[in-house]
Amino acid sequence: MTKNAAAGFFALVLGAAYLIASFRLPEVTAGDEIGPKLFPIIIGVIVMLSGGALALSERRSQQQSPEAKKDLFSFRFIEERDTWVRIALTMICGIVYGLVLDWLGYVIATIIFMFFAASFINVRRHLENAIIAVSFSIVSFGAFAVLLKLSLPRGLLGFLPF
Amino acid sequence: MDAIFQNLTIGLQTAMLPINILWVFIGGLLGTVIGMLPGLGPATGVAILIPITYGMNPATALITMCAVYYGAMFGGSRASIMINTPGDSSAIVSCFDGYPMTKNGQAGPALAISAIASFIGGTIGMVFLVFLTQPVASVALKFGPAEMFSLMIFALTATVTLSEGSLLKGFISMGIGFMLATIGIDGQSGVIRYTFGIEDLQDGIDFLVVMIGLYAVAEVFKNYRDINTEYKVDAKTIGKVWVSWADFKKCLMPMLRSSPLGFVVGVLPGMGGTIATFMSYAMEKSLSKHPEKFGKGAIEGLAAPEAANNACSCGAMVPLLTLGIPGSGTTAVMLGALMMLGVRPGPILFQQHPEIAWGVIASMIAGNIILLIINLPLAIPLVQLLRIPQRIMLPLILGMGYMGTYFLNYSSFDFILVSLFALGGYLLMKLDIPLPPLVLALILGGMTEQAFRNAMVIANSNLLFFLEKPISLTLLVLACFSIVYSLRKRRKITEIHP
Repeated sequence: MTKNAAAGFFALVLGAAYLIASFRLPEVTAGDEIGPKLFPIIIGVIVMLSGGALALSERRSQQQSPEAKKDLFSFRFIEERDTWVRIALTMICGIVYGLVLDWLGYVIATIIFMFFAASFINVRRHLENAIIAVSFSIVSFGAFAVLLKLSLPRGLLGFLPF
Repeated sequence: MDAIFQNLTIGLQTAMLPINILWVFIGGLLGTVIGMLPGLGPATGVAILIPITYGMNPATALITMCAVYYGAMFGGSRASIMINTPGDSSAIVSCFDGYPMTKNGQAGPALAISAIASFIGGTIGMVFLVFLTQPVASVALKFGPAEMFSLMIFALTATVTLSEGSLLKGFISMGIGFMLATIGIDGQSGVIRYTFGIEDLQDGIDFLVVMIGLYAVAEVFKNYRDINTEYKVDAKTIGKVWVSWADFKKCLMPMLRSSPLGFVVGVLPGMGGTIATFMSYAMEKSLSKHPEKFGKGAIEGLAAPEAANNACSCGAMVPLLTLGIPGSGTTAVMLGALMMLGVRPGPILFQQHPEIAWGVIASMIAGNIILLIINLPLAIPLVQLLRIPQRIMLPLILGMGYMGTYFLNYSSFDFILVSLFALGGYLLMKLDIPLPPLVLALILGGMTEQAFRNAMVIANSNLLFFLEKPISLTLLVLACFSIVYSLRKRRKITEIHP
């Protein structure tokens, strides 16, 4: 599958799913006569039509020039494995950061998050990463919580005076 | 004429407050630094610097965001000139002659002329902006739902047809943006749409969460492939950051020609700095007596696009401030930031809060001068920042992105959304689906649907209503025209390169 065909099929599936969900919305005409369904249905149709046209035009151009078939599309999960692993780890780290932020407090949670996030990128330079993590956390806390007086969770460090 | 000066006086009173001048300086400096970093453009800069505007009053916040925006425009060319790596697509053209100049040992004059050209472009753009805002705002005041709907459709189609890549992919991107915009409780009927039973989605997806995901975190993901890149910047070879009188004279006419061009391109929706810079470069090359020197370090080939780019960013402020409609990814992020602060740009802003609207415009005068000062004497220390390796820079951008997310709603659910949108944005980039139509549809989606439904109430559900109003009809015809034009243009390209 070429890149355009992949994008086309993706849009077809997404548009179809959205359209089904739109048809299942309740019919309410209390606020206005159009109701909450028509606009999403138009959007779903536009996305499906664009996706279908993209996939079809790609097939036609392939029939005309078969050598284009060699230009296959993939997300290169294997060739660029390092990148994908980094992305996955960063995402997990980011989500966990959000979950523990209130409990650990901004400073500690940010140090941990930044240390891990930096370690995925700046591999095996632990001291450098620790310096990045601690200074980012403390500088940003100082700037936002102390200078700009935004409320940030203190968490475990709640006993500190500032 | 008198009214303009009166308005400018009101604006200058706001702009010249010491606190606002200070923030123009800080915002401009931070914008320059982020715009300069390879791979990070103005949209990323504005997205990750939003937290600094928290707790500010709306005028100061808007002034700061603008300073970040055109600071990034000033800074964008630094990386192009020094290391041949544009910060974003509007700085690509600056590589054409900027980097050859550095290789010829003329880095100093290149840095100087790019700052001077940015200043001239910005100043000329400012003058146009001052004269154009009031008329546009007063016309826009008369717009009803039908006109608003058609205007947004025109802005969206223009963005789709002018964005890079295929037309169909642009429409797909726009559709995804609309889909995301419809998530949450429908304001008019109270129906909960597409939340999959997740309560956190009932209020809809915060626009800025998507922006930070797409423009900050996804950009970091994109850079993961070449994290070990290090750039060599030798400050000793830059020399004096100044241009000779002869060089300046050579650049003067190109700068003066490119500025109005850039401004007009900036006003039109969908046409951003990329198109402005390419057009001005092509124009200068065709007008030049020595077109063969272009691409080999012709100083006017650097000056013209730089002036066009900054004039373009002034032009982009016209639809943003007067209509509340952004014309590019970066201005969309700015609009999102403003809405969060409770400022709704548009014609009503000029009526109800002239001190904010005109304060921002007046602050750009000060901003341009401050940025010229930042970018001439401080040019050499600033370009040293290019030596910070990617592996140190990327974690910091990541940290800024996630931290900014937290400030939006103090909700841990947003961290999940940011991570997912970053992944989604990265996948869309891999499929060559352009992001600006998505961003615009997302921020305009709620308003578009509302205008559509309000117009339908007035017209008793008669779709022809949009064609009966002259302004609305003109805008829709323009939208159709932009699609036809883009199809023909693409056909021509495929005829030449089958």
